Amino acid sequence: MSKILEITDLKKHYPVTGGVLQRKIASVKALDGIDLNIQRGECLGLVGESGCGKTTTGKALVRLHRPTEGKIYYYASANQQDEFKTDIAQLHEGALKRKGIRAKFQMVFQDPTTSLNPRMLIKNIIAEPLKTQNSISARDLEARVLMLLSLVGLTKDHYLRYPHEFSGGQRQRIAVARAIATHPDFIVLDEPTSALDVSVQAQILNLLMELQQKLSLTFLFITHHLLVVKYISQRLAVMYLGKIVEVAPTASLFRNPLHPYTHALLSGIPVPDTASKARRIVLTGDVPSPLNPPKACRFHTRCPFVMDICREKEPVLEEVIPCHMVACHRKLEVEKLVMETFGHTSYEHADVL
Amino acid sequence: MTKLVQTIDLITNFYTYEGVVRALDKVNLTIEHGTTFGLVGESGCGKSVTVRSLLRIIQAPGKVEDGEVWFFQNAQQDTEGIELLSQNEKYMQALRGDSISMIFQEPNAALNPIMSIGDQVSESFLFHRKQEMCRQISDTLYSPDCQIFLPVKKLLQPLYRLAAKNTGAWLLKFLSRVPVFKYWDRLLKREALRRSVDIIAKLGISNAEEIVKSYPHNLSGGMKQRIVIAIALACHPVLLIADEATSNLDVTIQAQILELLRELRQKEISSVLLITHDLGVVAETCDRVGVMYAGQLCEVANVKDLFGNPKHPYTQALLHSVPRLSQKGPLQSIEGSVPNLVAPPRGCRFHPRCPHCKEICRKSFPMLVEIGNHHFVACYLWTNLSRD
Repeated sequence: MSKILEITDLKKHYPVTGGVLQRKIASVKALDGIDLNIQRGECLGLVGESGCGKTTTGKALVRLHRPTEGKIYYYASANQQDEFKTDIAQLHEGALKRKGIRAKFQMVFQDPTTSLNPRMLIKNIIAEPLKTQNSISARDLEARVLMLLSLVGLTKDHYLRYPHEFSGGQRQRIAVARAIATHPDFIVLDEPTSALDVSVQAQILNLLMELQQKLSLTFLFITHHLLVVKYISQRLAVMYLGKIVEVAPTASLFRNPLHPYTHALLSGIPVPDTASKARRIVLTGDVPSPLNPPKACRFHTRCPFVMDICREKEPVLEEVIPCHMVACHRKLEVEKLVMETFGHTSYEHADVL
Repeated sequence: MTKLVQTIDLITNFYTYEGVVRALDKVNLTIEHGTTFGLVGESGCGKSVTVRSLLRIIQAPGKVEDGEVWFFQNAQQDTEGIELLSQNEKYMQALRGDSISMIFQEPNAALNPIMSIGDQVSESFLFHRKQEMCRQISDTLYSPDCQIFLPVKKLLQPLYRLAAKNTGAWLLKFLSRVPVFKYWDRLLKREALRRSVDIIAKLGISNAEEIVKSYPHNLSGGMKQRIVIAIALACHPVLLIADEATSNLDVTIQAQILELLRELRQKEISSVLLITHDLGVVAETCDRVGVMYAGQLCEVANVKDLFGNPKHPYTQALLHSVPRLSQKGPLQSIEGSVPNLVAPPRGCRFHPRCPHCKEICRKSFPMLVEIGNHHFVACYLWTNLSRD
């Protein structure tokens, strides 16, 4: 496995202006120091509650906005040498395009109704990234668009239509076709199925998995739906208030979560089976405002196992078991604590009948 | 088990410029006292339209064409049921939010952004409990330990006595327009606000006194949802309809709200009608489930039977397309898409996507038939009774 992206201490602070002179009076700390490695060819799931900075992370990685601080190293090829490594965090728009990085990074947005221009034909929607990124002849363009359509399971009949003529699932297919048009390496999928129905969701998930294998893509799958992310991704990163609290392979995370917040998230999943009646860890209160996040460990206001050290010192993301990283002061005791209070610690086989 | 709400052959159409959308086609739904009924289905299958038809709040192009809705308020069934579709609008207004109340889908859209939380919650008391509150206030005014400036008290006493008899008296209406005197209902509003604080505090919000003074934009999503639930619960409804009450919330907040609904069901309200597309929520909270597809109910069963032993091909496919914790192998999806209800397929509406489609399925649509243990299915695989 080789890295494709290496993120160190990524920060994004949105200024809040006020007063007559519109001076900066505070900042919303949407991302506050993120360290993450993304391996080539994997699907990394990013989960967390709304407002915790999942989408900001995704947008920072495809450089839809410029991060305030931090480095994003992009390895253009599989061999990990320094000459192929570029820091894309502070590159200018022009440089991004010139170096071909824009073409290699794509994004699929949440709601296909709003991410497709209602006044453009499907052929133009899919051809747009091709036209802006590389010069391509009209005949090649048409062939390529038709090829992309067939790749996502649409046919030639759909070529000359407008987005409103499609159902939600088909629209999301078009958005996926647009994203894979420029032969990208890395795609950020920002809640691609949350606007869709259950039966269509399964179709899109299967399509994405198939495309990942066929085109050897790397995905960052942003979602709040944990069952979906368990299905599609090999590794999971859990975010809370602009920080990553746990990174682990999916199976390991579901079998043995080490952060109390992950426990709360996993036990909160409503399982579509009547046989399982696991006890639920219900967190009190809401997510604090990122305008004024709690000091030290950000989870301490809602954590059931809070100690004095949690209010004083910020925990660092450390590797506990190989490949399993946690940021918690009580990471070694969590399993025991959860066992004592709730009677179970694993969510892997919660719904086996 | 006694019936609470029963719909018989409910038909609702929407007259759009594209044609007549047959949103509901002969829906027969029975909800019993003391149960949580879950209504599941994909978007656009008519879940919301069903409850909106039931409460008669279908908007402009839509119209309830035919059918009956029976409402049996008493659990003992000693009084006769009331047919809601034939009642006048005034009766329905008194019913909505009182006996049957509804939690709407999106808390952002359900709350008025320019009214304070307290005003919005007390609105429901002022509308449904005015007479009762006036009686209570008039009692306290006449009691000897009432600490109000004497002339004011003397003035208010007859007014509240009048209001307790007849809330719509012309004198009160007139006074409400006269400067200074229009403040006669101060006490009433204060009482409504006090009750609002009580109900909000009961939903697990600690600083209810401050919350009632704030506006919707000051609150977070989960908090807003609690306020919407507070409005719905204000008058102790017999039936609480929760229309996607948790679908826009995060997992941890959703867990809080579901826990709250479960507690409330034990203490406060008898029946809940839960509309959702999340099968997980249904499995955890409901006793009985109805599955809808393209404007028709295709399966109604107890929750254990439905999840353990689904009969209708659509229910089976739906359950297979949800990712599980113990998911092995690829997900199965339902091929094709939901039919357009302007021109629904002839016969069984699921037949174009059904793996077991037979000749008869294309011709006539199956009725909802009981196949044992209160398990109803509308499918020819299970019933060989054709309609004609």
